[in-house]
Amino acid sequence: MIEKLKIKKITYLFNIIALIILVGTVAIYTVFQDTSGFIQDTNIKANIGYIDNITTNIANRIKDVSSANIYETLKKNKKLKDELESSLELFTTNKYRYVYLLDRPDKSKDTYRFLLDGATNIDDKSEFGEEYTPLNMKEWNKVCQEKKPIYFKHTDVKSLWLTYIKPIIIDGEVKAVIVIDFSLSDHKKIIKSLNMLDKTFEIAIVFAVFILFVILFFSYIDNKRSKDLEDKNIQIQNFNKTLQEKIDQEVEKNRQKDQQLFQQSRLAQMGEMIGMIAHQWRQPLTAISATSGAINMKAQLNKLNKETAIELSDKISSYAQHLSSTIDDFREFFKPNKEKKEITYNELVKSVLSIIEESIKNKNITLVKELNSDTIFYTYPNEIKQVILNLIKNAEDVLLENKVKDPTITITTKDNILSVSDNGGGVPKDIIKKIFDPYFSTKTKKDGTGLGLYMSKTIIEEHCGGNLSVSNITTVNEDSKSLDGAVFTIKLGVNND
Amino acid sequence: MKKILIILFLLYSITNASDNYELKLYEKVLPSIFKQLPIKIYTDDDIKDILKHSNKFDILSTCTDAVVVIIGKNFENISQECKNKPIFATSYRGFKNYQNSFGAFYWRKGRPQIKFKLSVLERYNLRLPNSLEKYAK
Repeated sequence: MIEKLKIKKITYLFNIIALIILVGTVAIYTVFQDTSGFIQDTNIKANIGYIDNITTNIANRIKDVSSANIYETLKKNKKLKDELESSLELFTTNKYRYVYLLDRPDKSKDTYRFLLDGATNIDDKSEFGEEYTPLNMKEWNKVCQEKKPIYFKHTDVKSLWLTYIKPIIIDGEVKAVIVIDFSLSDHKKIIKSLNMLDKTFEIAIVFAVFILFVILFFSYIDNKRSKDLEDKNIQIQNFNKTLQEKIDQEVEKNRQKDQQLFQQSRLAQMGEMIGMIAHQWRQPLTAISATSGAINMKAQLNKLNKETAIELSDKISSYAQHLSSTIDDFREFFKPNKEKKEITYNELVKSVLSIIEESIKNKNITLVKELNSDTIFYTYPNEIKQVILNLIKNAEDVLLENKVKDPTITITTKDNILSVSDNGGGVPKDIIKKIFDPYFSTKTKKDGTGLGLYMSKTIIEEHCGGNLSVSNITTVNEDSKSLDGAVFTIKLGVNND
Repeated sequence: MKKILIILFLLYSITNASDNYELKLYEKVLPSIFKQLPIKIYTDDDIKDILKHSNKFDILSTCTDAVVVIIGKNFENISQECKNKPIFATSYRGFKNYQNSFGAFYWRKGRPQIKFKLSVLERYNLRLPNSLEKYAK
């Protein structure tokens, strides 16, 4: 915030500096314009002073020798005219280009008449009485009206040319005018310097305006950016406010999803359980059927005596008891018991094998048990049993699916490690990292939900505080042939409380 | 090279500025008095170098078929045949000294001067347009 204020201050400072530069330049330019005009006026006035002296002398001379009608006097006295003209010629130089005397015979016309001409160039020398039409008639007429000398600049000529007109007043009337056209080209350097300064100031003003606009432009950009930044900060703050709510919502969603997954998994296990019960029941049911058949046969042959009937009914009762105990085992196994108990790996494995071992053996799969752990865990037995069952069922599925020769499932326990391995070919490297992801399955859709391993990992790691991992192993069988397989390892904490 | 060409062009433009001014003036004045175009002109003055650039004028080598004669500095040497034609002068002296000069255009003290003589124009049955009457005497 402090940094932002600092930047804003600097921006304002730059704006003010640019404005001061601009105002300063304009002020200096204005002063210069006045000074420049003053220098030029002073320069002109200095020349005018000199010219005024000359023309005053000429006018006095003419007044001395002429009557009120100068034209007539000069017409009659050619000698006087030549003499006066010679004196005008003396003043004619490159600087004072034209020196001449005119009168205005008809005041209603814009025409003057040459009386004397100081021109030395014969081509430009006017004749006595020659009519002459000036260009700046208004200025010329002003002399006659105001009876005062005037000068004016020639705006149509690039060099600094001026015309000075002095009236010759006799008896209160303007009888003639003395005109001098002169150049200030000898002051060209001053004018040039002033013009150069003028141009420099103009460029400086343009540059100052440009700088001001550039600074204003960048200030605008900067302000806009700051505003955008502020808006984004507000958005972030608002987002942060709602983020916690969103996280809570997402956590709740995940929890619900997990519950759904558990439910799905449980349903899948239920299906498996029914399959297993059916398998477990098949043999006793066959035996019951055979026994009841034997009873029927003996009864028809009248060979069913009391002892035989008791013996066979006891058998049927025993088989029914076996069926009942099977149901109890399954009910116990899948009971949603959430109580922690002290238990060993070996007890867990035996409990699992009591319901699945028969099924495995019937599928010609060799089951190897290396149970060497006496470690007691304080954990959720039913949940871990479900995981072990899931791992064994997975191994069984792989062995059957890959039609492995000499299929073997090995269950090993040692200390706090329980592993279930098989020789089904192992887990391909490209999927081994994804094997615990939900809905990931290598089985056909019909057989696999893709939830078994995900749920197993969740149970072991999140519920029981342990670890479930998978790796590939190579084992060597009796014929010294190497067999690839997968090994799933459960590692529980010793003091799980 | 480019700069040199630009400078040369500018110099040419400046030196021709006054010529253009004179040509425009002649193109305005003479056709307003002599109605037929192109106007057949005889002149011994340098003005022919300017007038030849206009399609309004036909510069002749003799006075015989000329409608108007423009006289310059050497106006005293022109033939009688030329003297009888309407004359337009490029100097005050030519304008003043010739009876048949009906008008003139020349520079005096750096200012352009244009003059007309109504009596001469009438003699040749020529009329001055209203816009130029203020220059007539």
